[in-house]
Amino acid sequence: MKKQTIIVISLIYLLAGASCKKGYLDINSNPNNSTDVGPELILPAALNSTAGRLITDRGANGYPAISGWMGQWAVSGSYAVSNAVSFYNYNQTTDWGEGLWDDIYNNLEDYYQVETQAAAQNKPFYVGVDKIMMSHEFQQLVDMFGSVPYLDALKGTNVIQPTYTDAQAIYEDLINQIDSGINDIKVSQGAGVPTGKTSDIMFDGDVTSWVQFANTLKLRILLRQTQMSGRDGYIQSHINDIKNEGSGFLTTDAGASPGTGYINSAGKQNPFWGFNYNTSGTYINDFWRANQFALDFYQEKNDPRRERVYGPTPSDPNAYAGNFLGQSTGALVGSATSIFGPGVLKSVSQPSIVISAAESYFLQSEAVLRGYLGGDAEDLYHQGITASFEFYGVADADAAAQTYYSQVGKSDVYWDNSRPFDYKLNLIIAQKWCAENTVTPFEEWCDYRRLPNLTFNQEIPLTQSIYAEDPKIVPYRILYPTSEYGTNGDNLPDQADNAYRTDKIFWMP
Amino acid sequence: MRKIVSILTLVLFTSVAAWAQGKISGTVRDQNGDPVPFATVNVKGTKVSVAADANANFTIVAKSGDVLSVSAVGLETAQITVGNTSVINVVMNRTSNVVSDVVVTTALGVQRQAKSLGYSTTKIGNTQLNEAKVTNVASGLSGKVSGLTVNLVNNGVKPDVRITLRGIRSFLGNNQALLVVDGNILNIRYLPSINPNDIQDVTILKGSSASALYGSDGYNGVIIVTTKKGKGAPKITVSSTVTQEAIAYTAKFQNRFGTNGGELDPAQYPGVFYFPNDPFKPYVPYENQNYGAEFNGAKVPLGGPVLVFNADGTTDTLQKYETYSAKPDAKKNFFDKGLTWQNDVTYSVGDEHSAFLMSFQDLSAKGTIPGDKNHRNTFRIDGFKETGKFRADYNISYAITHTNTTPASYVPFRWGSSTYGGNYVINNGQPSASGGSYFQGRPVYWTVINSPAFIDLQDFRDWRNDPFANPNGYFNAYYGNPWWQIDQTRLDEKNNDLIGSASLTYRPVSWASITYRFGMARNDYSNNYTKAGFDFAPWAEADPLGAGNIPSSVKKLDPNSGTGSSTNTEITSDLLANFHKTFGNIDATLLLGNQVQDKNFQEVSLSANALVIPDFYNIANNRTGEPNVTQFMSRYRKYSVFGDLTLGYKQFVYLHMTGRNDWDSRLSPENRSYFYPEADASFVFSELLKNSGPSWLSYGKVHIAVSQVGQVNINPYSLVTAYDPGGGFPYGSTAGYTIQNTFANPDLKPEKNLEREVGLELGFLKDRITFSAAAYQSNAKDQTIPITISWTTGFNQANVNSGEMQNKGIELDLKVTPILTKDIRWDISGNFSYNENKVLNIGYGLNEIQIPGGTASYVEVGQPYGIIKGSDWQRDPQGRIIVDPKTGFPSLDATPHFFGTAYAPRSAGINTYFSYKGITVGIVAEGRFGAVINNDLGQDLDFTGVSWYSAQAGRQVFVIPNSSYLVGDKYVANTNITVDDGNNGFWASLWNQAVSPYVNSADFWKIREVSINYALPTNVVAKTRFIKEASIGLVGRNLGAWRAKQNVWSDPEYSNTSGNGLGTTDINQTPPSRFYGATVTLTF
Repeated sequence: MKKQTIIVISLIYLLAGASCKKGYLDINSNPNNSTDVGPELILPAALNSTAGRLITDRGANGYPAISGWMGQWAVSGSYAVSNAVSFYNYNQTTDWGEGLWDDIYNNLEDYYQVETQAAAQNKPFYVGVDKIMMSHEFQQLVDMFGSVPYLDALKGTNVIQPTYTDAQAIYEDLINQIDSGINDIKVSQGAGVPTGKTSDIMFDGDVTSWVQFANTLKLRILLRQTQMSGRDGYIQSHINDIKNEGSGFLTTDAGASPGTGYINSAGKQNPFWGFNYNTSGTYINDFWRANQFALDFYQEKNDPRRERVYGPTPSDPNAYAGNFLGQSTGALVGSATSIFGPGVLKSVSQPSIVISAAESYFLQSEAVLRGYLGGDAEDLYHQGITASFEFYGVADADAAAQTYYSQVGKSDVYWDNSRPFDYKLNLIIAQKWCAENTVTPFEEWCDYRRLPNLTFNQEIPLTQSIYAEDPKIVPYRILYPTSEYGTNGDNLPDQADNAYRTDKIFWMP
Repeated sequence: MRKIVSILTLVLFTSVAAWAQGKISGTVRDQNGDPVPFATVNVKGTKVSVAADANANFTIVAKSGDVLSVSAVGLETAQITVGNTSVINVVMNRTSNVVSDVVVTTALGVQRQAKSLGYSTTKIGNTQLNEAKVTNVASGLSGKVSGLTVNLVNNGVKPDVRITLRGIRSFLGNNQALLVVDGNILNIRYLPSINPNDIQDVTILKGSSASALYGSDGYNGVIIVTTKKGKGAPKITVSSTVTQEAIAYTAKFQNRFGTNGGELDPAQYPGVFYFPNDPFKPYVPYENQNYGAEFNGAKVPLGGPVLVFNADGTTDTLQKYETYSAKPDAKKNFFDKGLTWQNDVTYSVGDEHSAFLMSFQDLSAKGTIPGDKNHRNTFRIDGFKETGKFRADYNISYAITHTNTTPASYVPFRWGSSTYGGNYVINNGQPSASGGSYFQGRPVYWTVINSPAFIDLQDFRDWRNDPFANPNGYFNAYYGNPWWQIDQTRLDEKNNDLIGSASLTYRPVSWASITYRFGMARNDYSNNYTKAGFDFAPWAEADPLGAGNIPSSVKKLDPNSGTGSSTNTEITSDLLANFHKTFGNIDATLLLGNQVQDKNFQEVSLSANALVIPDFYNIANNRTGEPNVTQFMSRYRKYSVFGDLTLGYKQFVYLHMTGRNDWDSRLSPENRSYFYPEADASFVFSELLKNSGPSWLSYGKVHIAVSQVGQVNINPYSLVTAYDPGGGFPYGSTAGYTIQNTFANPDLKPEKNLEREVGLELGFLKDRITFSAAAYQSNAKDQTIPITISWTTGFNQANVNSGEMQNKGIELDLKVTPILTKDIRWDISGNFSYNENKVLNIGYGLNEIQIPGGTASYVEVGQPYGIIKGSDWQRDPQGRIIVDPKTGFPSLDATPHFFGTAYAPRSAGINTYFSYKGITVGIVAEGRFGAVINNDLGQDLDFTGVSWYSAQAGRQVFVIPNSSYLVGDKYVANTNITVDDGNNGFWASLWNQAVSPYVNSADFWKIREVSINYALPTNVVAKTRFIKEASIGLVGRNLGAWRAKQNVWSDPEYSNTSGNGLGTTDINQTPPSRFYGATVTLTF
């Protein structure tokens, strides 16, 4: 019995002894996806996402719809105009803009990660770039939705229901953020700045370009507020800051081109290229076609950009034709309408533009015209046209541009110093529209809303859709998305079902 | 392993020989030589009494001349006088097949008497399991056990199966039962690789009380498979079964109308063909929709003109003609007769000290879809050797499965039965695939069922030589030729499964033993997907009939291919100590143990979007663009200690308790330790009434159990938010990352289920009638759910533990043996289960969650789990469909309508077994009631207009039954307002936009199995000299099915997922089949 007891005790000991080695269960670190990625590796994806979004994102519920509202794009007659919630009816539900909302906040989270990590790791260049890019994103949000979650957004479940910040307060803070970002970038000079395409896929670590980008973005934000009463002093003081800073504005296109550039492989094409061509080189976009208004407008001004922005119809290599927005009677089918042209579909590897050089010149020209900035408004205006001709790859761009803008008396083209302010402003806005067609359509929509009574903006045709509500109003804003009702309903500002045609963004007259 | 063996050896040398003078040992067996475990051995006239162990071995102190009285329930008490030998083997006579002496393999392989169990288990023997020569173990269990639901969610050569016990416990996590084979814990995905002929019996541990000892693995109940052991003299058994499979029924089709998709104007559509005096729409020779003219037997052109190039350089333009009349069986005849061969050889030998069994099975199946094949070889070796105080058990099985199919739009491109859609591309980091036609990626079944009623697809088989069958000249402008698809898109899958375990038991003293068991399971899976390209001819692209045909839309179809492989390794190490001792009237059994598990899955895949060189499938050397590559790893470990104590008092009161603590690597160190307690008691009141109670009561027991078990329903690596490569990255040497959209929650915990159970078991008339009933309630809390959070947080999802679901149910089993004579035995048994499920709350303000993988399946507070929701027509307060008084058309109600649960709350099975001399007949029927099914298929069939449903009003205008319209502010019954259009304008573009017409009762009764077997009389067989036993049989499976009358579409048991979102059938489930076969078994 004694021996048996010994055996049993040794058995129990054995069982207890076979216990777990220390660390045996510590195998839960992720081998599939990294959980520790530094700011250098997040920034390129974040920039690429921003740049790639601005023409094509969310299709008929996103930026292309805006190109439609602005008379640049239209729908192939192969697709019937219906009574459904669609952009050509100018109507919306709270589902309409959900994708845009999601995409921008999703993009912002990556910037937020860059900024928090870079701040902790003392990498001021990344902190600076981030503040500037987040300002770019938040401006888009405010211009679409108005007041949005800002101060306590992006913090995961730490703030699971972020409160909304007043749109104008966000705008004012964006200027401060950009100033602070410029400061961070300058502080970093020479230290921790990436070279080549390793991380900064927009400017290859060029500090001056970033400051010029920041100044141009500031100018864009400030000029958005020109129609607000009593705002002159505010705008002027911040433009003075830009002047004092001294780096000036963008002189080349600010575009992202990841690494060695976009390539012809699924998911790796330039987004606008991939919107139109598959990897086998077949033109696959059979929905979006030229807007007849744009074709007519270019043609009437003898503008060679007509054949650069748009291509011939698939069935006839010499024919250029389009539809109007919402057109159902007489709408031409896909094979009889113009596709996109060689000036916007240059190659699979073309960079995605965030702010074009042309816009920079037109913004400056307007600022000079309004007296905020010293200089020659006419000259800047001409530089803007030239930059646009160059962008679209017009042959002999400089000479062609000169020929074009020298057409004496041509409305919406010819700068006549003797004409009043409104005439000149109209020129700038019309040419901005010509230059940003299929580049950054969002800016045209903002100019349209900012200056609704401008002759040119009145020329942009309203939808022909028989399903559009009377009076036809190009949407003032985009409705807060459905998802916010379910996930952040307590903070969500009230909005009427038709707020997209009644509620204006704070800077709209 | 080696270390532990050496420790065992050390323990051995410290022990001494246990036998002392006066000690008698032996084994108790019945007249058939089968062991009688747990028999009571008493030295007559004394209080010295012991119980035999699970292997029927006993040791008792006695002296020469003592009489040993050996008793066990259901056997005659045996009395043996002790002589001079120290080994006494006792033989007892079995009096009846009673419930109480059944030995049940419970958790961790512990053998326990059924009467001592405080929870519900069911044991299915091989004969019952494999009566109908099933190819998959799961099919053999269906309908035989209360509380067990086997869903055969699809048809095919390797069908998907889903097994659940007592309903659903987890909103979104795993709900399938655990598989344990000879103590080896396995993923349920190994089930199809097991040869049903190798199985001795299957024990079902229904509730979590029974399975608590398995910890989180046993959360959803356990299916314990015990394989056959060698027994008796050496024998070789050879059996061969051949089974034919035929389509049982298809959806109901119309046989009246030909093709038209709305084309009217011959100027616009050159092919439009008007029959004089036909009141319907004209015939269109290339349409995919069937809303055209009525069949009239005329010769009509089919498709467009086809250009043929002759050898001399000339061309001919040919036109095919077809008789415009219905060919009602054409669709069913597209399918082949399937054929399955099962050939088995088993060699077995054994005695008390050793046994050996070797088996081989060759399974070869040809499916009903032409070209689909499945081939499985299984090898198995199993045995034990007992020497003195040691016993070694081992078994190993190896299965090679090779499947070749035409892939559907949703096909498993991974080991197991998870389904993913899309092309062979990487979807959420997982390889997924679509085969599909050369346009729209349709599965074969789609093209077949939607073919016009006057077409026989057999005419289009030779697409290589027949210009009318070639994709250039195929008549249907929008759906491809299915024969091209069968020949040119293939999915080839190979599975190698190696499953084995080895254990060593050391019994130093009669009352204690220690066992070390090592189990492993390994799966190697690989697949190869190939899809040929096709260059359409310019004349076909020119689209002569202006139809917008496939050649003009596709122009060039790029070849495409993908390949993937994975390995899964699961290792389980158990160290168990068993103690069994009797203290006076109390019989105590204690099990202490520890278990270590390691589960490791790795997968890589490679695919290309387009290949350049045709018919050459190597992605490394033939592709355009960059290849898609994936690499995925998943590994976790669990460490557990547990104890299991059973106390029995005088063989009629039993108290049983288990406790287990798991440490799981998937959870954070603070949360990873979890304790699972269980307690149950059983009271065998018939023992107490043995001498005083009524003689007709042969057995009576009540039991009660309570347990709390947890399940970790998160994947490894879910606690830290990770980064994915950003869109398109890397570009050259530039990498870019984006944070994932789910905000990781480091504090996740296991889901927890509290289960309470009571039960009653009765046996009457020497157990000629047995009845058992169990009632349970389980509450599963702390569900792991993703909650949707505002995108403004930077994320759209976060995982939390929240929500509770309740299951309440009863299970009844009745078995009657009305006839039992020397030659005749007739058993009839029935089982019934009722499970009431209710989602009590979800939390975080959520009222519903959509179940991923399901089409219209939701978790909703206050409803049973897995409800089907979808759109319905706007209805008046009386439930009538509101129609427009002008058009007669209804309008869609945007708010999803609740239709019912996809999980049948009531199910019943009836089994009968009759034997007369050598003839046995078995029938298994099963029914399920109270669920609904969403026949998504119906919407598609109405779109194309091939359905009987779309032609039920003869394509004429009609009044929508049970409809009303608004007059003033009152709804008036509609008796006269007909729909504006009774043709495609109604059926194909309005009526089929709602889900409600296609949701109906999923009730069914099915005859699962019928078998007739004849064992040749031994004296006849003996004349052959070398054959010992011989039997022949006929088997049938799924011979009959009774569905709800409104269900004119598919098998109500089918589903487009084997995941939790059951309840929707679509175009990817081929029609159900019947199986008929014959089997021969010879023993040498």
